[in-house]
Parts: sequence; structure tokens; C-alpha cells
Amino acid sequence: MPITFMLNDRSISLDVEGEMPLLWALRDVLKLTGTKFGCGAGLCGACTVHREGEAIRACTTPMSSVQGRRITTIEGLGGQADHPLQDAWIRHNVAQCGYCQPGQIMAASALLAQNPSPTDEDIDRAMAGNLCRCGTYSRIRAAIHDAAGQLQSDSGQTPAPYYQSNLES
Amino acid sequence: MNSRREFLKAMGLVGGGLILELSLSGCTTPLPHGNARDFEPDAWLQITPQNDIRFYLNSVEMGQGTMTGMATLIAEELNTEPYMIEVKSAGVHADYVNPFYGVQVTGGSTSTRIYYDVLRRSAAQAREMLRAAAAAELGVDVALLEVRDKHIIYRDTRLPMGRFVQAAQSLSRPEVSLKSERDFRFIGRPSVRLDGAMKVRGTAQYGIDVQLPDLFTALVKRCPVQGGHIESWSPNGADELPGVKAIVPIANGVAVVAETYWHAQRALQAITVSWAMPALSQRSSEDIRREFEALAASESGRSALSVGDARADIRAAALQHAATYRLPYLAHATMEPMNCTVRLRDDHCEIWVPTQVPSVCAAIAEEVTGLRRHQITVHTTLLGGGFGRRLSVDYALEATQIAKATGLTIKLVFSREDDMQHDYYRPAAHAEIKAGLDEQGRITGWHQKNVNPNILPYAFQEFATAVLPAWLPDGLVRGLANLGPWVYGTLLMDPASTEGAVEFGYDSVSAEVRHVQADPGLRTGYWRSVGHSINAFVVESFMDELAHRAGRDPLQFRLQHLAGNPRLAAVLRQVAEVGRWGAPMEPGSAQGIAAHYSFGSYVAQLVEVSVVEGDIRVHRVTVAIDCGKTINPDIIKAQMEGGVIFGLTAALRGEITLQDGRVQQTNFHDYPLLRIHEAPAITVHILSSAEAPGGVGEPAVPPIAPALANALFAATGQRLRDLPLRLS
Repeated sequence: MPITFMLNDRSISLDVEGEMPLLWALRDVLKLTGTKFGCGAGLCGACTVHREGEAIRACTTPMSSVQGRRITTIEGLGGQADHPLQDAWIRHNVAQCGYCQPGQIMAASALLAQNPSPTDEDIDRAMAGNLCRCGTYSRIRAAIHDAAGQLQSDSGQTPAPYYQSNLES
Repeated sequence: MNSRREFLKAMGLVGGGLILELSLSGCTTPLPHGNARDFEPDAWLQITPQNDIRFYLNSVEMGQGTMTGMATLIAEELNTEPYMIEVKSAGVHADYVNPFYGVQVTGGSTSTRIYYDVLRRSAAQAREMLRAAAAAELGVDVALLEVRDKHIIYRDTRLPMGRFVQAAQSLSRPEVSLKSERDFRFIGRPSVRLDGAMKVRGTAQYGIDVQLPDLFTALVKRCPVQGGHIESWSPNGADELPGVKAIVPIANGVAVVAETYWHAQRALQAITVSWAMPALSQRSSEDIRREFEALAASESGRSALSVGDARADIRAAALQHAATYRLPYLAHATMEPMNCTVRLRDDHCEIWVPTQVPSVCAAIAEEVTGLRRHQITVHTTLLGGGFGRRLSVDYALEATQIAKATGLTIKLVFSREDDMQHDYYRPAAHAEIKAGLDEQGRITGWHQKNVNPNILPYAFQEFATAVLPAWLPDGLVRGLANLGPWVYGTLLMDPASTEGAVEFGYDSVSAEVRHVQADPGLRTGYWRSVGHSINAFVVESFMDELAHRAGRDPLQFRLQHLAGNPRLAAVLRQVAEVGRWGAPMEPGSAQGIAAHYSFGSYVAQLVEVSVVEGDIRVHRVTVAIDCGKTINPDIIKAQMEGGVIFGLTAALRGEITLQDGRVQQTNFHDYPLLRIHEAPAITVHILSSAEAPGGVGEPAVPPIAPALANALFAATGQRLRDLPLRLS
């Protein structure tokens, strides 16, 4: 029995075992490699995707549970253009090795969808499940605040990059 | 860094001084990307008639920013915006060999330091050749032509550089002068990283993302104790599970090849193996701790630094102080687990691999497949973290063996558990240190003795095939490689074990540093900042202890001993000023300070910590760095931030332990990394300097553990000498 679900706004039908984790269906069957493998146990958040807009760990989500559901991955997050978070991430030079960042952005976008102006504590709570070995946490926080401001003001004005405001002191 | 160079020197492969002049022309073998129609003045640059500028990056991008930093050097002399230059991964070629180490390697925070002048000169020569070609074609004075943003500009006319590519080909390489620093457009300024956009869109390709036709995933069941081998094994039904393509034994275990990772993982669980256990299986962490302690008492070890008679000076001193520090093994835990993709045909082997040593991977493939070097192509991908783990090549060895045994195109992937339990660990260490102070509180003698396993025996075995001449018979190469453990266990010093101690930067009448080699058999490797991660903790904690013994402020005590080390003194003064050293703190809160020189750069850090019901909270870290001339200040800042988090993770949490030879940690629940809610605010101050560029990828790691331990002493009165730091 194929498993049918919406993936990045397109209907997909896959003939895979129901116990196969969504992560491996995405990466090894559909060749959508933006969603990363980090731990296989829901501990690092590198594989974060959205199910009905909510952040979940694809590595511990069996395919049987996505039947008929709406899944969004990093490839489908912004539609045709970059999501404001992706834009903020670029301007703040958040990514170092970058491997965890698709998962970070998926977690952050689920947060902003629920809470358009998160405090530092809100961000810490929502992002605590996403590890970054390069240690980009302070920039992740700054980029989320920045994108939240963008979404709120909707002024179309791009704020000054983080490094310009913080480097000179 | 010295260590790895020493290793090559010991093998007679490099001479004495630094080799900074690379052979840039007259390549005897064609470049991997060569194309007759394009202008390729050397191995770095390619300018096409269509006006595409390509820069071939020989270093790998693992987050440290080489892609942006090195493209900036090219961009500056071509006077062209960095984003207009396409950065491509260079293949394996003699021109790309890192002159520090004699192999094509990204490590030791060397990329920018080595290539600062080389790349600028390369681009400047290309610029002048294009100008000369354009001047000849246009029949105008070359002085009237300007190069800017991929164009040659003559009065009001902008002509694409590509138009003059053919004419430039025939010119000889001119003597050039580099741009004056006054005229810099890009060097020394922050910019948006060139790899930023692809990394947030999910389009960046890491090794684990490689896709090929008929590509299967391989996983390996390895002996739970490193160094064991298969006695017997059974597929136990795994070969009949869906999706499984092949099951084969290789040198290091049993490999399953399947349609997806998940199919391979499921099959792997069914396989049963009986292992012949190595001697390591008789040891646990507590045994190793006792062995190191006993060796420190019984062995005098080998001298790594000896100035004056430290023992006598300490004996004669007005005040003596001694302490013992212990550090655990550590895993690298890159976010992207180890992996390697191999497609092997009769006469060609292609490898796609996130590695810091592409030339060593090529040599390994040559050895496994029996093909010659020119029949092997290595494609390096982006690295999802390196930190030194990808200086080892176990993944390339295993993947090539699996491809050979199965005839299938395979991508070997380590599970997180494999990655954690089959690492090359930062060595555990036991360090005993003593010093004498005179009546004025000045250090008279300093004596440090480290007991820890060397790294070179392991590195030597893997690197030997790549650095020994290709004409040596294979058997001799393997024989020499296998000598490594003996050579570095008994004959020679591994400088990695004492780096950070032998550069002893404080004024003292005498100083001695000794090392006792002790290897329990758990393989060791280069871990971000290598020996400095051990010795900075020892030296900077002990300096703090001495300051308190002398009744001095820890900052003043250091400055008092830095007359001969003005750059270290300067970063300390700077960090104390901007971090408000000595400012009044809340009860339970305190500051700690430390400074260290490594990889050509000076870093001081000031930590603010509080202890609430035994819980350590790091609130703020201030960093001052003198890394000489700066290329991209925002990348420097990012590396300082990242290094602090990396070092804090080790200081607060990092510990690999052994039970009967098995690594007990398996995943991020028992080898925890710092998370966002635990990350302190970090401010970075870059000292302006005209000195040659220093490294930035590693130097922020060493000072953070001692700075934190020193802050905890100030907060609680507990002197923590064992890592990770745990309050009692």
C-alpha cells in the first residue's frame, strides 16, 4: 500500500515500508537531501521538518504517521523566494559548516508561525532541541529576532547586518 | 601544527625552514580541471572566454570560512567582488600540497596564513597579464587600463576580461607588485559568506548528500573495542531482508550494502559476529587513570623543553607549589557523521568524500584497489564539521574496501553511534606541574611533566602512503607505515603532546617540560587545537594557582611575567578592559581570565560565571584576539564564538570513558553538546595589527577551560583540576 502525503505542497505517493523513518524516505528514496541525518534518535534536530506546520524530527517519525498529512522540508519552506529567516541567516552569517542549519531554520520557522515576536527565553525553549557543533547559537538568536522584526514591520526595509552593528566596539 | 611538520621532517620529506614559495607554473601533470580554451595562469585561477572567473580552492570548507576568506584574497587583486568569483573545489594535485605538512591537507589553522601572499600574487599576475593583453589589442598604454569587477576599463568602455583570455595565454608571468593596503576594497572588511545562501536553502552538498546512479548505502558492524578483529560471523538472516544487496566482511568488520540507510541499519542489527578482542578490552578508564599516575611517578620521560635547571631553582625558591591535572579522552562529534562514496571501475576509482586530506584518501584508494595514482579521482565536498576528525581516513579505507568487495557503487555512512565509538580521540592526559616563587612573587623555576598517548603513531600509519614517494614498492610503504607506532612510541617525541607547554610564554629563570608516552590502545587524533587544548588548561590554571599563592591579582600576576611577550600581554590588557576585570559581581558570581598563544595567534578570554545550587552557569565571555592582519573580521569573530562554545562543551561536559575497552558514550544523550539555552553571550575584540596573519579556526578553544576553572575558583574556592569541571 503506497503512502500518500503532501510534500512541499505537492501530492506524493511512496511505496515504502510504514516503519521506514520519514528522514530516509526523504533522503534516500526522494533524494531530498536538505533534511540532514545527525543522530537517528531525535537528539540533535538536524532532521527537523514540519508536519502540519509543527516542527518534528524526521528521523523518529515513521512513514505510516505521515499518511494524508502535510509535510514541509527546507526545500519547500520559502516557496519561490527565501523565507525571511533564511534571509536573516544569510545576512547574519549564521552558518559555519552549515550542516545543522536547515534543521535550525525549520525549528525557528515553526516557532515564528506560533509566536511572531519571541523573547530570548522563547527562543531558547523552542531551539533547545537543535544542536550546533560550530557554536552559532548567538547568531541564531539574533537572526530569529531580526526575522521576527521583519515579519512584524513588513516594511520591506532590510536591517543592517549583525556584523556591522556588533563588530566595532 | 609543528607536530605534523616534525613528522614529515622526521621522514626526511621536508627541509628546515618554511616553504612558502609554491611551484605555480610548469606543472608536469595536468590540473584536474584543465581546459585548453581557458586562461589558467596557475593551479588557482581559471578565466574563461565567457568571462567566468573560477577559483580552485585547495583547502576544504568545513565552517572555518576558507571559501570566503581565500576567495577574498583573489578578489582583492583581481579588483572584483568576491561573489562574482565562482569557488570550485580543487582536485588532488602536487600544486595543492600544503607546504607546512607536505600533503594536501586542511588543518593547523594554516590556510590563510600560508596563502595570504601566494593567492594575492597569483591574482595580481593574472590581472597584469590581462591588462597587458588588452593594452596590446586596443593599442593603448597599459597605464590607462583599469581592472574592476570582471572588466577591463578604458575611459568609458568596459570590456569583459574574458575577451582577452586568449591573448593573455601567450604572455609570460610578469613580476607584479601587490595592492597597497590603503587601496583594499575587500581585505579587512566583513562580508556576507559565499557559502551562506546554499547552506540555508538546503542545497549545499555535503559528502552524505552525494547522489549517483545505482548508489547504495553501506554500514559496517565494527568490533565494539577498537583493534579487535572478526573470528567468525553469520548473516543470521540479514541477507534475506528486503533492500539488502550484499553483506561482506572487510578488515574492520562486516559491511551491509542496501537500498537505503534504514534497510542497511535494520540488516546490520541481525548480523552476529564473534570478535577476537584486543588488549584494550582489559582496560577501563579508572585503570588508565591509575596507569598514567603510576607512570608519572616512575618515569622521567623525554625532555621537550629545558632552559636552566628548573628542579634546582624550584628547590631553592622561597615558595613552592605543585598540582596535578587530569583530562579525559574527547570525541569530535561533527554534526555530519563520517561518510565516503566510492565508484570503482576496472581502470578508474572515483571518491566523493568530506575530508581534510584528499591526497591521503587518494593514496589509500591506490593501496586498496591496486590502481595507480592517475586512475584515482577524489572529489571533496563540503564538510559538515571537521575539527580534525577528518584528518583521519578510516572512512575512505572502509568505503574503498566495500566497493572492491561488492563491485557496487556505495556510500558508506557511520551511524551516530559508530561515529562516537570509532573516533580518533583527543588524548587523555595526566599532567604534573610545579613551580617556585621568589620573595617578590616572581617565578624562578617551572617544571611540567605530561603523561599521555601520542597522536603521531596513528597519523603516521595513515599519512605514510600519501607522503612516501610513489615509486617505492607497496610492501615497503606499508612496512614503513607500520613502523610509526614504534618510531613515535620509543624513538621520537610527538610535539603534539607538549605543544602549548613548550612555547612557555611567561618569564621564568628556568623551565622544563617533559613527556612520558603511555598508550592504552585507544586510537588518538587531532582535535581542534590539539595539544594546546591540554596544555593551555594546565598552564593557565596553574598560573592562576600561583597568583593566588603569591597573593596577587591573576591578571597582574600574568602581566608581571610577560615582559618578553608583549602581544600576549596586549590581548590580556584588552580583554581586562572591555570585559571589566575586577568589576564588582553579584554574590555567587565571579570572573576568570586566561590567555594562550597558538597557531600564530594570541587569544585572551574573560569568563563571568555564577553558581546556583551547584549549577554552573556561564553568562558572558569576552574575547580579545591578535591574529595579525585581518582578512575578514566577521569570520574571525565567528571562529572566536564557535571556538568558545566548542571549548566550553569540553570544559563542562566532554568525556569519553572506557569500560572493558569499549567506549561507553553512544550518542548526544551521553556525550552532550552545549545547547542554545546554555550558550553565553560572547563579545569579540580584534586587535589591529600589521603582523603576518595568524590562524583563527583553533586558537579560541585553548583558553576557555582554564578561564572557566579560574572563575569557578573565584566563585566557590574550589580549585577544579580535572576536566570536565565538576563542583563537589
